[in-house]
Amino acid sequence: MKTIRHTLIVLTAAMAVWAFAFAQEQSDYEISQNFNKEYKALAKAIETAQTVQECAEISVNIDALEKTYSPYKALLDKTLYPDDFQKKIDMVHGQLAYAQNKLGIIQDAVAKIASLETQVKDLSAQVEKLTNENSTLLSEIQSLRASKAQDQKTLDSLTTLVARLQKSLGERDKMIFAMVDSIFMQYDKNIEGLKDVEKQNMASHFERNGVIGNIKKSISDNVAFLESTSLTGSDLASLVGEQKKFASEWKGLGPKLTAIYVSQKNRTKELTEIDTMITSWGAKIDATLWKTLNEQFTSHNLTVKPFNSGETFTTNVIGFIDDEIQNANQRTEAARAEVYSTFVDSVWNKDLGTTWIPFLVRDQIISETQSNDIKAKVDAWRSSVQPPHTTLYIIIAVVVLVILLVLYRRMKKNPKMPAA
Amino acid sequence: MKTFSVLSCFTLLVIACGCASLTLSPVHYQWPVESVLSVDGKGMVEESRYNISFNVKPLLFEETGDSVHVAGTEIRIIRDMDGYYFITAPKFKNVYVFAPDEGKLKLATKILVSEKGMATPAFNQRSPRIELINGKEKPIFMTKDGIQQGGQK
Repeated sequence: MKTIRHTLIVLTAAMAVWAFAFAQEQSDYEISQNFNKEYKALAKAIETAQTVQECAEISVNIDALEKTYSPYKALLDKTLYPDDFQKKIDMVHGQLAYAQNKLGIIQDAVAKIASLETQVKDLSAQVEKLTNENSTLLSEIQSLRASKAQDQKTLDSLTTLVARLQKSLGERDKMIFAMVDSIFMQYDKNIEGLKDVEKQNMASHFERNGVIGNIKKSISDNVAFLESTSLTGSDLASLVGEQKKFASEWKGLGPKLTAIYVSQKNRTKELTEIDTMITSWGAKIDATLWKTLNEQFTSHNLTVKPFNSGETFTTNVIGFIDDEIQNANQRTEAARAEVYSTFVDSVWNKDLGTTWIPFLVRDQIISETQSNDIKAKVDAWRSSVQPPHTTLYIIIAVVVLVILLVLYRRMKKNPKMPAA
Repeated sequence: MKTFSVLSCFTLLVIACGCASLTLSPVHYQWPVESVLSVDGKGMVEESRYNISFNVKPLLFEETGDSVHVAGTEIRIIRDMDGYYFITAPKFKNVYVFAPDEGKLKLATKILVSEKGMATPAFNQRSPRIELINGKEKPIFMTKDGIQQGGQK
């Protein structure tokens, strides 16, 4: 097992060196040497492979080797003389098939796991790509915020960046859990049913794909995003959903990882840290949510008492409307109408009634009944500042009657001339 | 007898001329990829695939002024289409172009590439030229006559 791990580390290191070499001008010699190094590492891994997962991983690595180096086939055909590139690939495939046969491993099982492993590798690459993209987006947002520019162009850029980062963070979170799922599926067993060797094997599989590091990075990026910019109601609604989804996924995954890393104290400690990080993330979202919702009122000088829960939100908003209705006689009609129209036009119709309330109900932060109570109270307030509909109908009826009366009188005053 | 001697001389001359004018072409001597050779304690390097070995002490002395501490030095060598050997090494300022001769390699051209010395030089075969790359610097194309494109001329 150690040999395989060592071999795979060598392979990864060789790939890193290769990537570095390719970042600069390419040397044919280095390409040829790196191919040989990776090829040897694969051949060594085949010799020591014991399980179907190891064989599948090697199979995927052979495919990756072929894909990576096929653009250099002409060069390698010459440098690998008397063999050639395709012959070498066929040889290593044959070597793997022989080893599988010797271990009694069925090719179909390898193919199935290899397909999952390919998914893991693809997802891992995408996660890495998104991590880099997210870092760039985050620093762009931070620098835009730091510039304190308020022109429309900057604000538009900020909005676009926030939307992109939010989407990208969500995709990354989704990919990490999909990657973990694909790894688990390769083992096709309950964690309890795994032998210690298999647990170690699985743990090293997680390590190679940086699962724990990626999960921690996801949480810290989400928190950094939360702290980097002011968010709208719909942004927050989506963030709360994301956090809840993440927490729920972790609830399923955390205990499994704890069971796998049971003998590794450092990792077990990190898993506990993730629990704390998720709780802290949730608390921060909660605080941001109430802060932003409070600002909906304070920014329009609406004197709703501060709140920090679904309960206090409902009570204080209803309390505010009650005060407005009850103190109606103490202020002029114009002043009352102004407060009401500010509330309705700038808060209720714009965000509170359309985004916040549905989101608070959906996420069970307030109940349906509390939502209806608030809506009913807003209706009552409307009635208190606007004439009731019956009065309106009476006024319309009177106006119509007056018009008819005037017309009738005119017709009476000017009788029709008889036809000549 | 005299006539026979003249005829014999004439015949031999014709045969000799005939042999000297027999030429095979084209010949492509190029190596597909450079070789990286390690210098041994005696200053020798050996390329097993192309079966060539030679002493590089004079070359190292020419470039570094030291022909004693040569063991372990890595030189990079590639042969171009015309059969010239291009040799350099890390910290070298020049690329040396050698022509093969009977039992020796004769310097054909010494190409100055970097006054500071090259950090990580490497050759690529780009027939009919040889490409010299050095880290992130712009690649240089050269022939036995010198730099053809890029770098110092």
